[in-house]
Amino acid sequence: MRKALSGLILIAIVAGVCLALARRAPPRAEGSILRVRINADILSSDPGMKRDFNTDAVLMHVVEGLVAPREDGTIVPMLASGWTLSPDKRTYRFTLRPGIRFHNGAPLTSADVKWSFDRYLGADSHWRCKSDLSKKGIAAITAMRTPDTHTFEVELDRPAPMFLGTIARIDCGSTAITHRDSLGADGKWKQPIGTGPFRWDTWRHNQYIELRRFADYRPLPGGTDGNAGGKHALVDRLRFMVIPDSSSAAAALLRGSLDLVEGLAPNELGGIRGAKGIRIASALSAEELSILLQTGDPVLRDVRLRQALAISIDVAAVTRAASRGWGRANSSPIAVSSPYYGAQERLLIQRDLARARALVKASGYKGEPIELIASHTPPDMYDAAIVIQAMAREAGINLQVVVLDWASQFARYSAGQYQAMIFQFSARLDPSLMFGVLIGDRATDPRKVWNTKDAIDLLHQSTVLDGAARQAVLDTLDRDFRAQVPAILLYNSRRISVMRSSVRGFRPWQAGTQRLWNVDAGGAG
Amino acid sequence: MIGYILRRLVLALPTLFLVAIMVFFLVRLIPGDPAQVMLGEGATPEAVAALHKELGLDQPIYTQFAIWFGHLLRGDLGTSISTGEPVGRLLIDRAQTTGIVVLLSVGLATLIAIGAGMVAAWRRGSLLDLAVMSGASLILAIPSFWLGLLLLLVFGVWLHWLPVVGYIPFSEDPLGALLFLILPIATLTISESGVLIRMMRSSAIDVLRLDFVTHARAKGLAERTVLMRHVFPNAFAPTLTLVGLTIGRLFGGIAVIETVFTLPGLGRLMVTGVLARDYPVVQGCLLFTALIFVLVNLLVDLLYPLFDPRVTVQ
Repeated sequence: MRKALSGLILIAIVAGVCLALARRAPPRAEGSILRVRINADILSSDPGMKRDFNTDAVLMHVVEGLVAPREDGTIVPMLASGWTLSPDKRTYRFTLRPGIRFHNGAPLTSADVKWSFDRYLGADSHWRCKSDLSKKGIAAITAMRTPDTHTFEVELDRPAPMFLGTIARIDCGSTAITHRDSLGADGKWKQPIGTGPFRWDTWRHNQYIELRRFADYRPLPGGTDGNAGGKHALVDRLRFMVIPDSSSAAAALLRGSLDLVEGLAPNELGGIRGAKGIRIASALSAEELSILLQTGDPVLRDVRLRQALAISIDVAAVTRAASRGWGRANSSPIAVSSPYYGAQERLLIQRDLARARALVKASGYKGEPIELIASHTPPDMYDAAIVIQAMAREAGINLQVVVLDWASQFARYSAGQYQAMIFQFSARLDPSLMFGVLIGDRATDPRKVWNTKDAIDLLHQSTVLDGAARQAVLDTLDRDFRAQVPAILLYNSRRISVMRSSVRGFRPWQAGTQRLWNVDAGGAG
Repeated sequence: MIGYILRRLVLALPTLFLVAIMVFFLVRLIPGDPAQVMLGEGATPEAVAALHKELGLDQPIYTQFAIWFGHLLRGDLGTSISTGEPVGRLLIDRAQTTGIVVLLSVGLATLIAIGAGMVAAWRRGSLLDLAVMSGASLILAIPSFWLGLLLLLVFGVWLHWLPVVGYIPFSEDPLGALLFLILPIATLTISESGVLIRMMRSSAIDVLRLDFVTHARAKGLAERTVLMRHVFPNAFAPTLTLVGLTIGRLFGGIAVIETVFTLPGLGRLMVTGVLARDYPVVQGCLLFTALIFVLVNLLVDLLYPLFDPRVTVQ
């Protein structure tokens, strides 16, 4: 009896301690907080240098560039109040917005802009867009001048209408203007001192990154507009929590330990869709799922076989199946959300099995296996491969799906070592950038799948023209692309965000990066 | 005793050397290039080549090995390609989290296994034995990640008793850290107890059949004394071996649990390293796991004589 009583008392003590622990008051929050999930830790805090998607997404809240992309991808001023272009179209003159301050209180000057550009273009720099601003890229910078503290001039070796679009690119870190104190005394990167609506605070590797509201931020007028527009920090703290597993992130959201989960795959929505207190928002992304084809491959060399493969696929059905109805079928390399997505680009390749079989026969194809490489990153890549394999079989094309992990697939892509590969291209807001990943000299860059002289010339034209003339060139490129089938475009995916109902102001967009300015946790934190 | 420990440690050196060689070359056999993964899809071949040069990946593989091994002999495991952090520091940071989870879980699982296994063996063929064995089989059949998610859902989302995500280092707030570790420890304890229960029961049944147990009972000793003083020490030795192996295995193998509960541990570090082809991190993790295996096995061998008087340390 006594033993049983002692046991019960012990159990009661343990249970009491557990409950006390569980109900322990959380540490007092230092102001409002918005907690957002990222699926992996960031690679660095140095914009555009050592980076990936998550790194860009976090740093876009801390730093800004001279210009930025709007919602539709067009470029507008950000830290600059405007720019002028010289008559020979080689010199850009930026005027800086007055009253801008860095997070350390220092005012923004043209010397800071030049210092940042010098750093990006320096010999030891690993800046993502260094090669774009070189002789091999869109244009090389031949001179930089600071006529006064609020004016910055860049001189290029040739006219380059893509210049502004390039320095605004998110993967280039928006060519962010940072203060020189971002470097330590040893000249090494310490932490970003930028001009964004949030300032850098804490980085706990593999746990979280916390940013704090920058009280002296000078917002542009207006609301959220791409990576530009008016940015207002509506919460005191922004915490990006590293949660690799989507199920755990969903559980945390349901529990209220997280306010926003961004970039969920459609197959990860089960169990959270329709849950009480949870809201879903989505936007068509500029990311495109495609099948890359090796035009030099002994089997796929014949354009008729590639055409047969293209018309054996019911693109709309693949889109429905692989994206669970969230994606938008698109046979053009130009994203659905682009202002250059015109009548030509809207045409969807139609499935025509009879013609596909005839083309297969005419090509002399004897059913040799064609390896179609796929991975599970993102998950719809594999699903699409399986559906396409079945569709192609009906036209007599023997696709063999080979599944690799992402790094192995990426190595094969980079070396051009494949016959066919399902590949998802990350968002590129400008159509020339998207065509640019497909077109080029395969001898020097094996990633390119389309290396005809005409395509290379047209791509170049698309980067130096504007307006209607540019649209005409892009239309021609699109037509030729469909005729020569170096790749088959399938669909633009959709960026899906799930948040607590209390979160107000969040809107996903085509570039996919989170924009947490103008977003209020609504007391959730 | 000290001589024995030293001898074992010296004998472990060739093992670790072989592991180092295998780890270095096997990691490089995996397709994929860390520079490409790091720079991403749009990186130019020039940028990739420049990063290769900076990381020393443009050197012949034997030169890379010589450099790495030279640093290793000086205790330097290199720097993570992805994050730029020293691998040694990363391992120490992550091993603390993993170590706490693994040691507490295996400790609890062992206590459960001793109790359940002994009782099941003692009441062999009874309803109690059937219940214990069915429970152990069920545990073995349940994947640990599923169990983890289930516990997360019940105690985190439904009951709101325990936190769902996050982590506080023990050094900062031991009580808070424990709160975050309850669910992963519970998951791992349950997952690992299945095999330990079966092993303990099986060993105890073997010992219960032996003459000295009959002799002890014939002497009129209480059943509890027979079990605890005579059966347990003899039956526990094989389970102890398994406990040692389990600890070694789990040090590098709880990536799934760490991912589900967002714990920054060794397993997650290794998986992230493999996916990013972060060679120094993968090499460091594997070498560290091998070292843990060696040390835990040594410890188990040293503990053996405590339970089995037939074994002596020589």
